[in-house]
Amino acid sequence: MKSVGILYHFLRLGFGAMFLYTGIIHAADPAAFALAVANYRLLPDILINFFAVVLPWAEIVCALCLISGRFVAGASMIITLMLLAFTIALVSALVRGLDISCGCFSTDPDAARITWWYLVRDIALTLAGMALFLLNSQKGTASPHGQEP
Amino acid sequence: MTPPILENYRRTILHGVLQACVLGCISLCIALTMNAFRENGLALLHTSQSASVAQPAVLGLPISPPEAFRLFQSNTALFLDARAPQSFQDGHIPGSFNVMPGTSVNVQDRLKAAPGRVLIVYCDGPECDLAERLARELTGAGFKGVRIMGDGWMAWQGSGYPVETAP
Repeated sequence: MKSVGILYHFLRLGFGAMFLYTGIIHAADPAAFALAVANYRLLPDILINFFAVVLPWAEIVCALCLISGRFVAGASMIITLMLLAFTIALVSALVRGLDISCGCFSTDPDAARITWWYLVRDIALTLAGMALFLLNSQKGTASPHGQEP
Repeated sequence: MTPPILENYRRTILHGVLQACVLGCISLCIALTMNAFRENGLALLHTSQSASVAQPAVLGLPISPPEAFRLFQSNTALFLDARAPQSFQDGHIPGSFNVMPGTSVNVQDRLKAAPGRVLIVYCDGPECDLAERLARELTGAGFKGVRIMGDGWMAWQGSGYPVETAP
């Protein structure tokens, strides 16, 4: 199943590169990221800063795991849950008609506004994250001790 | 007796959850350590009484419509309407300037000519972020103590405070 292996490595390295980039962007300016999070008006004020401080490092740690091929099961589970949570936040913001920037690949508040296209993109990414988790678990089944590539 | 395939799924998910917990703990430790040592670290638990929180540090303190109205009455505030020109012409706070985000450079001289007055920015209400963007822009340009009337024009108008419809 060579094509499955190629898909697995493509998803692993692709997500790794993407989350490393977004994690660095978010970690570089936590105040701006906190503002981007606050703009969604979902989290209580008391949690916004904590979320804005911890999430970028979770992105970076998961990205490094994916790139290095270690703890892929946990890392792919975390990024899938992040993407799922973000998809829900996006739906909520779009339904409420919030005119906000995504905060995904930039913390600039003047960046492009969220649209339904972002939702399509994030649903696709969430499904890709789930696929990565499942592909990795198949590899784990092949080697009972959970040895990862 | 659990079918083998379900048992495999259960093990896979449990394996993922355990790894995720480890990675979560590692991320938390790194994040808290980095935040503690960096110059622009955030106060982790934002409360309304906390002085060092992300939004006020970046944008200035929020202000309620009644408080803004008191400053309006005492003529100690300058109001900046961040909405689109058409909305501004339909109605705005008397004496306010229409300044959309990205255009504040046009009025900065006028704002500098009114030192000591509190700058209050607003847009439609909590659902719009134009005021926040403008506040961020002004703060970046060196204006201190910019305040955001988050409840915005809708709340001001709804409270029966004075409005002006001429441009």
